[in-house]
Amino acid sequence: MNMLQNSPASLWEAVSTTVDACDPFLSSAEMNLALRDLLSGSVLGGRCQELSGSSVVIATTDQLIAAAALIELDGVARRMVLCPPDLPAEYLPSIIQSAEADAIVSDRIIQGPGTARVRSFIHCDGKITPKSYGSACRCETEWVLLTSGTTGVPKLVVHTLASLTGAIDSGKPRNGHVIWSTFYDIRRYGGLQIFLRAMMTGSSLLLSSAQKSTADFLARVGAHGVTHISGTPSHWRRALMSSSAHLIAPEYIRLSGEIADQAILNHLAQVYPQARIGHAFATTEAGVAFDVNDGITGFPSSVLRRTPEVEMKVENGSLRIRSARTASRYLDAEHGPLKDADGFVDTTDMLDLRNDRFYFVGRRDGVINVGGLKVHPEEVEEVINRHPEVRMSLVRTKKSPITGALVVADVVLQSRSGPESRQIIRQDILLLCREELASHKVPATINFVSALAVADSGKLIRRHA
Amino acid sequence: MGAAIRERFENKHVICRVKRFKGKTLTMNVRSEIVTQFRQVAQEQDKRLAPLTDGLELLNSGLDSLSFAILVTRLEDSLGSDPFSESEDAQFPVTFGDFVNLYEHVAK
Repeated sequence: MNMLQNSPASLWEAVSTTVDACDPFLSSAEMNLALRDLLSGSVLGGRCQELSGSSVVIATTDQLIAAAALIELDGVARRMVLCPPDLPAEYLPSIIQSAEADAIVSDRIIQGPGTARVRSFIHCDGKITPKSYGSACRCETEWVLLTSGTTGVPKLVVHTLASLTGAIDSGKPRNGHVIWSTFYDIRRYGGLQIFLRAMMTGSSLLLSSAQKSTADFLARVGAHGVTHISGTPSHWRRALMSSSAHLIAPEYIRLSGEIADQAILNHLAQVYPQARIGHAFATTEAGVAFDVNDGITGFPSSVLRRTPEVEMKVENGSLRIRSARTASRYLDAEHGPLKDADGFVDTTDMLDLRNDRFYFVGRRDGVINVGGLKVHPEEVEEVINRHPEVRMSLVRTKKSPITGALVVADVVLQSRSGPESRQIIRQDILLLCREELASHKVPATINFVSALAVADSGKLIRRHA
Repeated sequence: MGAAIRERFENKHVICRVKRFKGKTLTMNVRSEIVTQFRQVAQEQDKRLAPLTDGLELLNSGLDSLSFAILVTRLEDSLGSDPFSESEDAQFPVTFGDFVNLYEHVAK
């Protein structure tokens, strides 16, 4: 099936074709919005027409307001830039510049140097006001996403509704039964996929809130009877540490954004025996490539050849992807081309082929160099996480006067344990690592920590050496 | 322990005071800690360790450079110092005795 042929002209149009049958809603911790109401009104104070053909930066704190603005502006604005809520204010001027922004939609006051070129400031607080115009699609809007880089100004990645929804099967029956939720913010690629999946299929969506705890979110997910839920492995590890984990009973659990190791897949299967558990490979630049639903980490090598509409190959160890779902370009030319001459995006995710199955070993730029030998932190974490007492781990580099760098591990345990049992666990983990890994990959020291920092993107914070 | 005996003892075995665990001061014998860690790392790395005499050349100790790197980071954790990184002109010790001296020197 060619998805592009079936793509609706705009997100507004997609929502309006499903709303009668399903009556879906968007819900955040603070408010609820029936999509039916949004279609007949405006969250932009009826000023949508003013933004026709404009480049619009959507910089709201509230996710739900951003979601409503996206529905209203797609097909109307020339370009929409989706700013995640944790975007440092000092980056805004350069984003406005790069996006040639004419307008800012926000629920807060945005001013200061760097905003001079902006002619419209549209304040929205989530209230829907009547509108006096139709919502005919006028253009194909560019959707600009910010990559969650570790440092520096984020890269601006250009998509369209068609590239973003290429992996979504909108032909499935719509019975209004599915309620989606995601730990992600919908202004990041992983969360945006879930938002669009819900909107294209007439499903409701429950949004997370950066201000609320994981326990609060899980309670809300449980209370709303969410059936489908997505997040990163780090989101899920954190969720499983919460006593509220038992409040939810999803039918489908989706992991993406980080390597789903066997330990997290097993833990989820144990806690949610009724759920189908899948892990997806997608990146902001390369788009959605494939889902793995066999409950095993990595993916069968046949996936490379047999994924419809997505061409994949492994070159110099990393996965390369060509499809209609990849982004078209970086908005700033200085970030260089997003694809190679043949149209393939290099994901820089490194693969290892063993027994006809590919395993993700880590990212090319995260490599630790121990006396000339390479170590991917993720491959070591995968082994440490297999220990039944381990909840999560972070492997990082430590400077060494002898080998340049060494591998050390910070480990969060399942439960509080005394110094003696910790010593035993430490020896156990080292033994496990020595059995499974080359000696330069075995952590020189293991530190037990109470928590690991997870970024707003839902990924473990890694500081590259 | 009498004052004279203690003085002799302390001259021979430098006592290093490491502040750890919320200000609780632990005393540790530098030489015996180094010996313990040499044995520990050798065992972990599956290396045969030569008898640790002061004249033993480190290159003949049985440890490879990865083992030394691990040893130095473990000693940093237990003794609270890494003489190799702390001083830019630190000469890499040749013998086991030099190695111990280097750590004792930092501990003083």
